[in-house]
Amino acid sequence: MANSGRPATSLDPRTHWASLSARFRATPAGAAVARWGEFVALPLLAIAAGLAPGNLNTRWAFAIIVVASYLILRARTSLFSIAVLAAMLTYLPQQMDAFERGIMFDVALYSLLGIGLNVVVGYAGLLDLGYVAFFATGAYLYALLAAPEFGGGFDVGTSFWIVLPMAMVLAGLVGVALGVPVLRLRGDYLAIVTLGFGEIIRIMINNQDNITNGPVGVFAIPKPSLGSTELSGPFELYFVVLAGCFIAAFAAERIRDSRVGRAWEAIREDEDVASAMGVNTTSYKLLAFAIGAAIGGAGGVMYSAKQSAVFPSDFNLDVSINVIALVIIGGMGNVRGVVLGALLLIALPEVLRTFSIDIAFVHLKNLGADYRLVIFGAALVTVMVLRPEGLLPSRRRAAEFEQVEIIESERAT
Amino acid sequence: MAILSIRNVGRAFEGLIALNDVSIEVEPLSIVGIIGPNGAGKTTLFNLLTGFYRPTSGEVWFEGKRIDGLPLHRIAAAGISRTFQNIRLFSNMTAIENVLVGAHLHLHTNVVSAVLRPPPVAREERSATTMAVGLLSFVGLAGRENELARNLAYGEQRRLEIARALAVRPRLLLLDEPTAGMNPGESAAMTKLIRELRDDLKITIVLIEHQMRVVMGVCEQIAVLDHGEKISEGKPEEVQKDPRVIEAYLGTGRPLFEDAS
Amino acid sequence: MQEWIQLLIDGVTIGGVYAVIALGYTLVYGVLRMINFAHGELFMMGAFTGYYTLTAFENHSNLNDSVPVITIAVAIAMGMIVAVTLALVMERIAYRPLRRAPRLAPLISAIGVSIFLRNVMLRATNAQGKVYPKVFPRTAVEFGEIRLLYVQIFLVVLSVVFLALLYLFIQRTKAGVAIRAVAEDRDTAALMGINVDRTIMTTFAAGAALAGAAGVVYGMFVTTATSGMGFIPGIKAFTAAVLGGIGSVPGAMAGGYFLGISESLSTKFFGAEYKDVVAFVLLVLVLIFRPWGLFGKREDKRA
Repeated sequence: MANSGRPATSLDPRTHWASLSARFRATPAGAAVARWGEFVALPLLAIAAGLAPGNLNTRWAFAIIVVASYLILRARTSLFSIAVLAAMLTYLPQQMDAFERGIMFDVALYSLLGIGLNVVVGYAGLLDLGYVAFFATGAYLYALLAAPEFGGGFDVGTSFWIVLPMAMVLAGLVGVALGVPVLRLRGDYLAIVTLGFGEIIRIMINNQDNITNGPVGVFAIPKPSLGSTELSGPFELYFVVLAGCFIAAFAAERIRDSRVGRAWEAIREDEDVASAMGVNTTSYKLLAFAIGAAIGGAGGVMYSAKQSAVFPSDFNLDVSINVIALVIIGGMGNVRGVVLGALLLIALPEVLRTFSIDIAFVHLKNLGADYRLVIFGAALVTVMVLRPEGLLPSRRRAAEFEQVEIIESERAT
Repeated sequence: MAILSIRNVGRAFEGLIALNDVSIEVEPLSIVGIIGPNGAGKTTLFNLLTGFYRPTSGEVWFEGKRIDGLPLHRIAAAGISRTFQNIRLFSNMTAIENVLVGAHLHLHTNVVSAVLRPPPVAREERSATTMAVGLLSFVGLAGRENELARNLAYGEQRRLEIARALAVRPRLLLLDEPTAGMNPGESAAMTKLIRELRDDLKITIVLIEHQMRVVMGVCEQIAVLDHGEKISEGKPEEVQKDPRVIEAYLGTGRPLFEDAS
Repeated sequence: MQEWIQLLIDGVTIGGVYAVIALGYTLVYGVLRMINFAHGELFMMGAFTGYYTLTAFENHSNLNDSVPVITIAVAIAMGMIVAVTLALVMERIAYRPLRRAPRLAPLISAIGVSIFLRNVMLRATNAQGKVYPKVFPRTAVEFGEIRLLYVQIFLVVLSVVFLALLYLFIQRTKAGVAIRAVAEDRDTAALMGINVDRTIMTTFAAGAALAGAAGVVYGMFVTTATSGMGFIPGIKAFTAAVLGGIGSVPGAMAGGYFLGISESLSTKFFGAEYKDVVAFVLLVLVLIFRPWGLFGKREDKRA
């Protein structure tokens, strides 16, 4: 592990950064920034969001959610903190207007998707760039079964709650089907192939007109109902998604802390040795795919219900990229990181939708709306170079990346 | 009947014959050593026994069943586990987690029961943890359970690898250079541990070793490989005097094992 | 019959483009064991550079009419310069810091670069394609129903020329030897005195130059430059590189043509909508059954 006598490439910014940041953190000011910096920066960010043009009350509610969520996520998870989080996320959106409630739905939905993808990427270490395939499966299943033109005969009211588990099973099977061919592939190949799968699914949905109605899409999708209340708006459905998030998060973390999670981690560390110790790596990788896919499928059903019309173009690569970005930037291997990622990458751009700034002589309008992806791309690179473990990594991931940093700073000296 | 039967096993890579017609019989509860100059094919043999490679010819039988060509996890399930020449621990997991992975086959929690965590599952986790702590203690790592594997000292890492392999509950344990990099004191401790593994845990042991003191001290049977072929086999005293073995190591007829007694 | 020949010609045309782009992938993979996800965007930037250059000539002179050979040559040169510059910046900022990071990191960084470039151009062009000024005559050679645009011939010939030049570069020049050495065994190459960083930069530059030039000419062929035009060809070129054996230069060339022709011919059976699927399906099949490609070596990594 020691310096192997390799000639040091002196311009390597990574080593440069490692020793720079280590030296900075050694100073009193640096230590303070490292410890408290996020507590200061994030509220400022939230205040900025709050000051963005719009109805003042609701902006503040939104800002509070961002800050409080972050602080809670950062702290030790306990029944109390979860209860506080749940209460906040239930109460505050009621103070919001329709636009922001829509944002909250998206945040919740992407959180759910992120939790699912996190099982595949974060726990099992399989880089899946085609996650949208599972999302689409669930969405189309509900759309085709429930919309009167297609599924017809189902009782509109209960069908949502029946289709939901069906979609999870179907998506899980799709996950296994997609997983089988890619199991032996190494990281980068796996990524490209899964990306290809995502695109193939979209193209097929687009072109199998007889089954899916092609590019025209499926519409008049009915809303679900709970007992006698129809869950008609994004707001009611928001609560369904929120509940789904809590359930999925709970289940995912329980699984991670069990024998299954240990097997995944062993596979991530050294697949062949894990196998030699008796772990059936094929089965466990497929299991990760299936679980992630099932959660994605569930999200799809909820999306369909909210949208009331779905089109193949809704399920493009951008969705997969969004989800992977929020998992990575938020912090891999960690539900809290995922939620933070969703807040930052989904909510923030929407809130800053009409925000404009002037850089030098360039006037950039509608930062959130138009430049979102530009900032996204830059953010991905920045996070990878400066903090590859993400903003709120699990202890495990932080340790893994710390190892890289130690080696790097040894090499620099 | 031999617990492990290596029959005419060969392994060729592109242009390189790593193993050629090697046959070895290992009796139950014996401690067998595999020695030979560097590049003789010893680790290749281990890799073959544990499923990392398939033999290009020959067969491997374990407890009366054929195991060559089986996937790695099935070989582990059959009762064989191993350590590695250059320590392959799960570095970012703690010592106890490493051992618990070894116990994977003997635990039964699946996805559903992991989420629900009914009492039997909780009990099983607790007893697994107790067992793991016990194993760590057995190899001399008591108190180090929650250390990250990569933060352990070299000798501790070697012992952790053994603890992990033991958690698989093997009937055959393959140790690849267990005393590599150790001084005589540590080697003696390791030798003692190896004997305890056989005596107390009733495990058959096959080990690859370079330190002759260890080999002569603990092995009851030795097989010598050179250039992929078995050139000698027998009790340590016999092999010591075999001219073919001496020549393989030194090239002339000088006495080889001067320090072994 | 004539339809087949037309499809074949179109296949060779696009195949040449894939081959040229694939070279960039395979070279970078050889030295860094990393897929430069953003390589396709260099192709796209080349196309835009071509557009801007030719448009500048168009608006401020009549050189496009009088000496098109020169303006086109300048456009190609500019395309190469811009692509190379971008590639070097990319390497420095987004990849070099991650050389020893876990494998996922540079891949994600590359994805970030790709997203960034695509969307910067999307914003810069306001989501509108930019139509090239008419510099290359749009005339064609015709044999019965087979139509071959002169610019198409130019593209095919230029592709072959670039492939040949790159092959010579890799085989015969000192820099090329350095690249092959670093690809084979980076540490030993360093110990032999090869400046690894500079070699890696050269590798990026070589691949980028080709991609940029191809972008210019391809842009002239399809007459429009759009921000998304590099993405799918990029993935397909990667597929081509894998088909031929990732890390192998002749493999990338063969793979490019193979993919282009297969894709073109497949439209006869499956229709044009599934053209993109062909590449992905081929990729999956190759990776499952013959991951080392046509020209690669079988890797038996395990213990």
